[in-house]
Amino acid sequence: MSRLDFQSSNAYLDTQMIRTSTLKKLRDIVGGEHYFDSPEQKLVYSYDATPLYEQLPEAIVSPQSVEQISKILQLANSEAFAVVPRGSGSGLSGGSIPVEDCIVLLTNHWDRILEIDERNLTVTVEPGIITGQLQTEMEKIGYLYPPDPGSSSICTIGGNVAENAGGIRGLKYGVTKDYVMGFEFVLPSGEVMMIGGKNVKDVSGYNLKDLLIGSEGTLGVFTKIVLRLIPKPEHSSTLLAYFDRASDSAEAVSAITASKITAAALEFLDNTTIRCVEDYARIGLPTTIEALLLIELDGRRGEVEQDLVQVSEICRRHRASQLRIAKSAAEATQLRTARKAAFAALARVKPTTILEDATVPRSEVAPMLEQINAIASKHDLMFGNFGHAGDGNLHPTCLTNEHDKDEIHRTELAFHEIYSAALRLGGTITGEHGIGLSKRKFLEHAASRTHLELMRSVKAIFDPNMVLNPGKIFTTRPRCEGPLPISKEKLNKYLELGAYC
Amino acid sequence: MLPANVSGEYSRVINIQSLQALSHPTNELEKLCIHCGLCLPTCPTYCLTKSERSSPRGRLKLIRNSREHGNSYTKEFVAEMYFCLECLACESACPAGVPFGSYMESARAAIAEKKVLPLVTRILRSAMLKWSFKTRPRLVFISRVLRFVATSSKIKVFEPFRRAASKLGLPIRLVGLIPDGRIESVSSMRQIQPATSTGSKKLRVGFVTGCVMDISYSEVNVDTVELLRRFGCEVITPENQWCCGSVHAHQGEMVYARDMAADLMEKFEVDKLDVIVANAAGCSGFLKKYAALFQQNDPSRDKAMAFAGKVLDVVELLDALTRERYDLSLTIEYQNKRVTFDDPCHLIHAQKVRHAPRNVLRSIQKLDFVELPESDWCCGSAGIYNITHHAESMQLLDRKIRHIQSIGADIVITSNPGCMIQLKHGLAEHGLRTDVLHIVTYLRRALAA
Repeated sequence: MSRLDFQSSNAYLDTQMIRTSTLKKLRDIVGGEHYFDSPEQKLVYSYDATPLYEQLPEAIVSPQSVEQISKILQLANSEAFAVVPRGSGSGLSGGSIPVEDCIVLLTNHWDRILEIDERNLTVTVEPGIITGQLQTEMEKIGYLYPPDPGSSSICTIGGNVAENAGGIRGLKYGVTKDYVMGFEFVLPSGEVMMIGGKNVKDVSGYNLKDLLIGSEGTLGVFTKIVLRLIPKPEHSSTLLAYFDRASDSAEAVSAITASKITAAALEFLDNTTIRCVEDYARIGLPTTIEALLLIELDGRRGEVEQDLVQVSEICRRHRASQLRIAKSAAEATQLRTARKAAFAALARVKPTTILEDATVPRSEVAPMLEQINAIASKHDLMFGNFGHAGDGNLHPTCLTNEHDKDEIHRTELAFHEIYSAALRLGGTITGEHGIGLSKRKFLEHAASRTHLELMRSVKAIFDPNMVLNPGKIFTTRPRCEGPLPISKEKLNKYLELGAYC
Repeated sequence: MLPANVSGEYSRVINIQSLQALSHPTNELEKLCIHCGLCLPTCPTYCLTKSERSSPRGRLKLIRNSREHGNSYTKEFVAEMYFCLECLACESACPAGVPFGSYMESARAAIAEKKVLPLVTRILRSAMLKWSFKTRPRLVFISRVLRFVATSSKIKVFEPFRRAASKLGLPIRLVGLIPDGRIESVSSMRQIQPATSTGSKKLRVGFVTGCVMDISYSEVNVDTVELLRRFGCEVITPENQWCCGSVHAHQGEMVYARDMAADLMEKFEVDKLDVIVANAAGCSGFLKKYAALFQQNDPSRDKAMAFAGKVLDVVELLDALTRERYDLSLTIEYQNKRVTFDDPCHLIHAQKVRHAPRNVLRSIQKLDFVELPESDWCCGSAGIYNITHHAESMQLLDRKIRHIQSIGADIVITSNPGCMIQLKHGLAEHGLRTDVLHIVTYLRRALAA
């Protein structure tokens, strides 16, 4: 079943499957003003930032306490409906898109910083705080929270932990999991639990913390998160290197890595992306070059200055046609912001933008880029390429039109081939966006049967009734108990999926 | 002829639109929204409510749905469409270039057409838009009555009205701040005589005096004429001009807006002018879009295009006029006063004019200019928003005033009458002595001759 089929059969299927009495109980738990089920409210929680998927929830709740979340999940178990947690809805794999017979559980209004512990270098936050706001607040007092996803201006920490978000500083500083020290969360059964805390070292039993991080909202709802901070680097510098040939830029990346300099960010943009970003941000990028590298260096002042000289030299040696160094912190921020807008800026060209995140070991970036270009031209598709070249996490982005069935079909074939290519080069099908809905079936190709079975078993232990974000990461087996789906459309869909009830 | 450097920031808007036109021949521009969510943190109503429904992304989804399924003009939909400030911060934030304002205006137009608003609201709105904004004397009359009721606290007869208004959340004190039109208005003057000797480069500038500005801040209009003359322009203010129609268009009354536009264009001899200038950002932004009001085959469309092509906001013109001036200095009275600039949404977001006012102010020697944090955030004035959504408007205003306080500015400079009234109200409520001035008034008073 292609992704488009999925969408057209699913969209706007607004039939009430959750019993009215159940909805009333939900309403009683959170209170009337925090419960929504108007058509308008359902509509605006039917999507996140993922292209092609949408599904109406049956109700939306905005819980006000941990106890309420716990009660909601207990109710979900006893009355058989699904719960999909949602922060800001900026995910790119469909993690917060509703599933059938579900309610949406909002956490974006839980946005406080609860405690800053300067003796332990930790900050404790609620899950709905916006990553960028947390970063700004921490930088004001001399700390850095390094994970910096492209959507940092809107994404929430809760969502970042659930998706184990990466971002542009992954190369030097790692990803979200490297900064999560512990959290309080609600299990699918409704029990509340704390894992980890402020200990730098903690080996008490299985590392369940890392199991929950990146679980895409399928194993628990985070309610309080303890994050690690690092002192803010004394100095940073931003450099842009323009290349007339994309292959030169890829070689420059390898050379920088080989020179033992670890850049805070090492970002690649191809010509299509550069043109779109420039059209949006007007920051004076030349639109004729084939590629550019955005390189951020940070650390002690002397060290940064020395590295900057060396990196500039490497770029020149690899035929960079021009180098531009940001003159002020404001200019550096402007460049980074423009880079972060790359994905959405690409939407200027065509109505549908499908962004993926095939990732390869750093050494394979150049061959991977070549393969992407070959696959794009083979299927006659328009691609914009950008990504975190420094850590091998690329973002091949297909510029297409969801109403052109043939083109969408070709897009899908192309992504299949891209993933296969990534796997052949020792890579993975997703570096930072997660599997969610959009990569479920690619996961079936990428992961072994044992691997999948093991993950399914883990899910079953945590959530035997499949109430928390079911159907994400892998398809759950169709339910074979309980009443048959009432609507004919739904029944047909189940049959189509191979269900035998 | 326009000086080549004038159209810098404006041309950018045109580029984006032409780019979209090239790649999207269909009328389904809203499909451009890829719901990435980057607009959310810039949307004042989303930040107030944290509700997706009240975000640009959510509203676009609702508008798209209402277009596809015509029967969805529910109460909730209508309320949401009018809860939007139309500050267009989302347009500035949108990397994909979605023209949010056009969708919002078309949605409001559809609401007006469908007659889904409650009868009382419709009557009040009609009275406001179609009756009082129809002619100058009517608006003068209405604003004088309102002002009188609001300010004459000694007359006991009005007390019940004032109390009722307060109960309804109507900003009665805010109305009291609307200055009385005591100064002779510019639009009632005859054509101003060309300036004779100042400056070498002489521009013929047609001046759109506006409606709210003309009535509540007619001294700003006088200052505009005088200032432009000082910079060597020849200023022409046609007689009996009236509202440009932007008030109506923003409320979705497109037919009325078009009639107002046609009337206004009648008054100007476009071919004889180099530039057409307005000093209210709401007006200049709308004047630039005049062509879009007329259908492709409408004979007035060409005229509207010619007209719109010459429109500049007064700050853009001042930017061009001050660009190579290194002799601008302050009078003693203004020398130690810290100033800041608060961007009107219709300047920075609707017209993408960000640098022009800063360039003008920075060209003045020894000026203590400080950037206002979140200067590109709406102050909550937003047309008649501070009347229709008083509570939310005041929350946004508080946020603005806190920032003004934090930088210790003596004068807040802006360039739109709505923002001026709102900011004055907020500063007065907080007991601050910070002054609010239109940029032309500031320049006219503060620049040494």
